[in-house]
Amino acid sequence: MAMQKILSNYLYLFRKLNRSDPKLFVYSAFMVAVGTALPLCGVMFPKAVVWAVSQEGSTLALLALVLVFFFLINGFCSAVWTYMNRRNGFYLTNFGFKLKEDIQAITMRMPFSMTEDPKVLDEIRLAKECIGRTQPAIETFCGCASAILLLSGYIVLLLRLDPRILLVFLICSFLQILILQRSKQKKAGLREEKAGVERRKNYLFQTMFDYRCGKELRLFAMDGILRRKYLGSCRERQTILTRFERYQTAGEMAGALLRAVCELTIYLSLLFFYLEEGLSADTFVMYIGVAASFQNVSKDLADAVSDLIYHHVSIEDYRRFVEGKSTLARESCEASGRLSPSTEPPSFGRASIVFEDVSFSYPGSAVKVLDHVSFTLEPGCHASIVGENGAGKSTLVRLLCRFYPPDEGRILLNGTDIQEWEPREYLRRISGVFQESRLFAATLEENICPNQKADPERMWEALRMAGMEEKIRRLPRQEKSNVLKYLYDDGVEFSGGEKQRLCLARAIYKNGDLLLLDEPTAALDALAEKEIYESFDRISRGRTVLFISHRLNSNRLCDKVIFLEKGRILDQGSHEDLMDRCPPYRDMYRLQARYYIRSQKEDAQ
Amino acid sequence: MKKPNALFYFLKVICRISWQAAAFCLSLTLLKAAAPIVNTLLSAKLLGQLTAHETPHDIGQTIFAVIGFNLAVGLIQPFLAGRFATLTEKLKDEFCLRVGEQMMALSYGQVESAAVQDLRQQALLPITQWGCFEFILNRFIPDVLGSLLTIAATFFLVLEYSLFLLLPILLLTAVQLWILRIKNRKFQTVASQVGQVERKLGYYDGITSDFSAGKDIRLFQIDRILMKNIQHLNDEEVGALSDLFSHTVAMDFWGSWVTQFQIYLVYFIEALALYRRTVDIGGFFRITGLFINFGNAVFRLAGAFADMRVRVHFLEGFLSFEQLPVLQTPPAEESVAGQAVELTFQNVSFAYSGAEPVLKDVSFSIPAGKSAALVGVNGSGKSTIAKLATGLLIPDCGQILIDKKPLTTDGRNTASAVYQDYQLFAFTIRENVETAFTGRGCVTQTLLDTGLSDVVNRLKEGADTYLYQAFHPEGIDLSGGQSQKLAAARALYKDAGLIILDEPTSAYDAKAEAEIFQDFQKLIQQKTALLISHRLASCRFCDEILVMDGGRIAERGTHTQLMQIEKGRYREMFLAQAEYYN
Repeated sequence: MAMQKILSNYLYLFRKLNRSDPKLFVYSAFMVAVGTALPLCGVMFPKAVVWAVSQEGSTLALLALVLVFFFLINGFCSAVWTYMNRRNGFYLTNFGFKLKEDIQAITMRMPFSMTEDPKVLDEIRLAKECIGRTQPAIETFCGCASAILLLSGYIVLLLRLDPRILLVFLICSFLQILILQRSKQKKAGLREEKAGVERRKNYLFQTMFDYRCGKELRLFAMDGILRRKYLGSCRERQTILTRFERYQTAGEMAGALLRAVCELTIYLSLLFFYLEEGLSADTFVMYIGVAASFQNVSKDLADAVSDLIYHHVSIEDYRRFVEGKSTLARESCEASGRLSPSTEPPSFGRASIVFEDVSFSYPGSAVKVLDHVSFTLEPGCHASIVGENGAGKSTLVRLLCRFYPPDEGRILLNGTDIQEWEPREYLRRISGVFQESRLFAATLEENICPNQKADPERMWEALRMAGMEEKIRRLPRQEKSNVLKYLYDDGVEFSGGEKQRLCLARAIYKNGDLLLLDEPTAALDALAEKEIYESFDRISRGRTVLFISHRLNSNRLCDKVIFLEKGRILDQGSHEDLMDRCPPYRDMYRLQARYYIRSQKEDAQ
Repeated sequence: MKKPNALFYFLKVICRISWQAAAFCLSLTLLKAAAPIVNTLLSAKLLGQLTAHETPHDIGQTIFAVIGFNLAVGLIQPFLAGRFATLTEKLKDEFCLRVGEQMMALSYGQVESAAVQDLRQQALLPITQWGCFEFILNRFIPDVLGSLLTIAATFFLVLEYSLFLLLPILLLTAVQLWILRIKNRKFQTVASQVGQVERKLGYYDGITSDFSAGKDIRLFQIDRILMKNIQHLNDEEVGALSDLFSHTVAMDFWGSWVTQFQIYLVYFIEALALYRRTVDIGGFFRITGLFINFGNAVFRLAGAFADMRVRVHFLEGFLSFEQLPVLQTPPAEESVAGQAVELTFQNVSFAYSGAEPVLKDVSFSIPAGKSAALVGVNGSGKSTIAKLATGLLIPDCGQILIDKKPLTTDGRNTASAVYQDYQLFAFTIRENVETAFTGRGCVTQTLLDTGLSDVVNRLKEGADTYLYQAFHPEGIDLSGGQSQKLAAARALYKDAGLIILDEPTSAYDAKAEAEIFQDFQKLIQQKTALLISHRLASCRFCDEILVMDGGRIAERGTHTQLMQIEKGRYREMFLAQAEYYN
């Protein structure tokens, strides 16, 4: 059963490789042939020389012929092997890039809910390990093939000498493999402990090294503590490594003893045949070479096979991730939806949103983050969602973006259930700026209009509304400027406020049915925040806007305020209405505002 | 002072950390060099005895010598190799500790500087994380030592024979090395090109695996343009590698023919000697075997140095790193708890290296036990003042005085802080609160004061629960607000005379923030405090407000005083924030 899985995984890898580079297997076959020929030549060479010299009436010419023959074979085989090896290496690196691209594309296209699942993060990490395994896997396979061919040759030769000698050799090889397996098992048993210790040690080293921890490290004198803990985990690691070492050394010493047994057998038998049965000197020498090579090759073969078995797991990880997630990614992009742009034309910012009795809890949790939430936003309504941390505001946004389906209830856009849309098509309807929104290392134009050819008029309009038109016009390359210094020497670094405004321009450009603003001014100072609020008037005229912010001062800009507490809507209405009839809202507002209000009263006096 | 050779310096450091590793390395290399030579000699002797039909007794002796020698090597070598491998790991761990300690001993300003960041990226990471250390210890040193030993032994053994053979060997080795040099030069140019591409690919890899960008990517379908860029970069790298490949493959092809030619030339020349009866078969194999060993050793030696030359700039970086000036820091026990201190800035100017000055001639004083708020737009220098006050940065001009004494080291003995980009450690909650100042107070009380008691009491292990998963697989993750409270607890527990709070409540919601500032006075407990916040309402708790503008203190006073300044900065900001509350 396990064997079947291993074979199927490697077959999957080979099929993929064959599709990407059909010549790979031809060249690998050459490598196997040459890889078998070279050691054979090495074994035959002394025999050939001794034979040439001990012939009756031998001349220099004969020996010269032998030397030239071996020179040509060795030269040709080495050259071919080097060429094939390099060529395969090059193509396999290329293949590795393609594997990585697959993983990256799927990571970006898989459903959003997966990006918050720690199991998926693990899967991605494991899948990436497959990338570095392809080349060693192919090399190991070629090595195994050569080894099997060589061993077959040696077995035939040893049989011709004396089957009993072959028996001794096979028993010794078998025992050596058993010892090897046992020592590997013991080491595997320690693997998890070793990984844990190394994780701790690496964390400590990284912390010493990472400048981001630098302030606290110095201010709270953590260096002594880190040093002490580091030395502790080093000692733990040394203990484990010493045990590893003991298993390894014991195994290898046992191997040396077995090898000595084999050598004794072959040498004494050969001596016997030489003395009693007229075995020639050249054949004697050949069999010495065969015996030595046999031991090495069988050990290498055992190592290679156990290596292949051990590492097939990474292929499985990759396969599982790619096959599993690509289905989901495809579904999330092209899934059946009866709605399409032709039946549901865009409303260009004037969408109506209805939450109908929506309840939701995150997968794996029993806590209801949203509990029978219902509200309506008319087209062109500016709504604000407020509440304490953990009340469910961000979750509401996620459901609205269709990142998660609601457990109960429906969400309607322009009267139709959003679940009936094709997911990607639906996202085209939403524009948003989130707290963690950011620009990407590309040109400014590509950042504002990422998915399509830029419409200059529309782009400058969006920049003007976000208040960035002047600054961009003043740049030497204007909209073709590169963003971020990290990748481009001439890249422009914008301040925090400017970055938020550019993200806002991006959202405006997209001109979705609905505009979502999730804490867009969190990192900004008072003046920058005021500028955003002023643009807010401009931007949101005529659009449906949903605004989430801690800073309740923004509520004055909105027609409707929805107050969430522990997943339920406590009340909804205009700011004035809520101040009148909702005590918790009034309290929260006064808490923030009182210092401003009171002080203004004081200043007025 | 003459700059020492980077490689020798590195080797000296290693030997001083662990001479045992060096000893095992030497013995292992000796064994590995001797083994093939002894084998060549013994097998050649055996062959000679066989062809000369010598007595079974003599042949038997040689056979037992071979088996005995192989067994001895087979028993000793694993022991030496195993010990060496374990000791190498220990050596590397202690080397990393040395590097880490040096990093911790630098001043914060140095650590943040571009120069040190460069050293970290270009030299220290390659050595500690990317295999350079293993290369030097497991390949370079053994190759060099082994080759030298082999060359010496072979030379000594063939001294009486045809030194004439040496000439063609050395000539052909020179050809091989010339081919290697051409290969390496090409490799260097391609490597720097590929390095650039890899750096950019690293950025894209980061973006695609950073799930916080996930919403943007899906909402704006940015995945297409990102994949397009990734594919372009991959194609570029493949192009460079393909160029390298075609170049290398030709060199390798000829190189392997030259190697084989060298070997068979030796055979041919000795064959002549064989037919002139100056050597017998045994001698033929002995001499050719030794000379071929010799040729390989010379090539390996040169190859090792060529490989090293590519990496030597890592070692030079390490040397520069070790030579960085380090300030002495007093031990933490010397710090005095509880007493409020006076903080004074005297004509302080500061600029980050290579940038415009952030602070220009800043002077102010906060009397002991008083609190001051620092406000200003982003980029006006507030965080820089916070770092200067805690001794993490050294002013370019002027000085900082704590209780009228100049601040010369980092603030471990004088100040406590909660920074905007604070970091918690993956240790227990208790260890995070106590840090190095264990026994200063009561952890439970501090947790209560900062509002974390509920959270901690609900945990199974209470305050001994681990944060994050580095140290314990079941370590917990705290929410943003809880983490910030823990950072505040840490700062309070230290009970230092000066406390700096840089945007300490940015992750709190309105209610939690109000609670904190209501107890603000209780929180700072008669210490001297410097508060930096965007939310101007929270600054009203302080005795004085300092307004930064363009690197200087533009205004100072109480809220009432500042509001009376016509066209004042503070007034402008306050009204901007208050506007929407009325």
